[in-house]
Amino acid sequence: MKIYIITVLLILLSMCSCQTDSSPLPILGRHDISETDTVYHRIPDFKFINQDSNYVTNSDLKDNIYISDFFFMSCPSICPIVKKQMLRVYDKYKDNDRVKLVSHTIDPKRDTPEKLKKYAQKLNIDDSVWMFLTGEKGEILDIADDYFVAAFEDPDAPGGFDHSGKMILTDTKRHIRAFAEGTDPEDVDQFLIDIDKLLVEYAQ
Amino acid sequence: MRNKLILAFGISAIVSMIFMSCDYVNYKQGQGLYEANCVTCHMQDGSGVAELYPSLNNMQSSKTYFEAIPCIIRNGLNRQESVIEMVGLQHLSEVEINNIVNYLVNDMNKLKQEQTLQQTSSILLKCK
Ligand code: HEC
Repeated sequence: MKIYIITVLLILLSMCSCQTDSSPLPILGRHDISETDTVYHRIPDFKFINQDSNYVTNSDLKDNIYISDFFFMSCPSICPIVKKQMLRVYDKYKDNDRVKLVSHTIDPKRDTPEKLKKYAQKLNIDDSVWMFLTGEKGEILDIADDYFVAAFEDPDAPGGFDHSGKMILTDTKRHIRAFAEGTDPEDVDQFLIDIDKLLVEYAQ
Repeated sequence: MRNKLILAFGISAIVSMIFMSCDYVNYKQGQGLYEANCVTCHMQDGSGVAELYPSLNNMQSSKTYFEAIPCIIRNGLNRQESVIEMVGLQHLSEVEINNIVNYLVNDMNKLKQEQTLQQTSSILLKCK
């Protein structure tokens, strides 16, 4: 009798696991449809400086899918929570060469490459997997726009900047494929599934 | 049959009471204040973020350490080796600080070390 119940339960359980949706991730953002082609939203060219004071451009990421976020070191509000979630992503994919993490400071005046280096060291992460980028403030805020992240200076906001805690998943063609609210661990659970899904596209 | 049912209910009630008492929080106010002022950096469970934001949930029973907490809450902390400093939370009163300390020590860390308001007040007077 018992064995039947267990079998039925196992079958039910396996049915649940089949529920995952196998359709590919959409390409997010506005699509311009011309006569011949659909033009998708794309992350534009950029050139920033990482924690080792080296330039990083799109070409350094051309074979990678990457997860980005925006933060600043003295941030008293949501940043540490988002960093904790970024660490989850890092821990899961740190050994997968395809995946990188890209954190942009929105406070380049204070968060110099040297400070970002120390910050990375305290996070115990591998600099070749997770880059911390700084640069011209205007360019950083512009690229935040391209990732659909609200980020701007606001003297009234805690720490002097107002920004959202979004985590963004971008593919090798610079298309945005998924978002997560970095302050919400359950949303990040789904995001990890989305990253796996995108990786399937590169599995061949 | 009915007796068995009653017994089953009774046992499950007792078991669930035991489980609930494990999660019982003595310093509710302290917990609320911790959630309002500290979780963004030290996390809900006190686990912190790597070495950037220290964890608060594995305190050892040490009088000197407990005595340091009220001053850290009020004046912040900027150790030589740290990358990020903690800015003091000047708006918290003595009573609130005392509540937070007791929540941290007694509830989060399950150490039986109640700190009285008088103790916290005299510690705060001597902060550097
Ligand atoms: C804006 C982020 C932030 C907030 C909010 C914050 N802290 Fe901190 N806290 C830190 C950082 C960063 C350090 C480490 C500073 C250093 O080492 O110089 C720290 C250190 C501490 C320490 C010392 C830990 C150790 O390893 O000895 C204690 C205790 C502490 N905080 C308690 C609190 C309490 C209680 C609250 C809420 C009332 C709070 N903190 C709010 C960022 C924060």
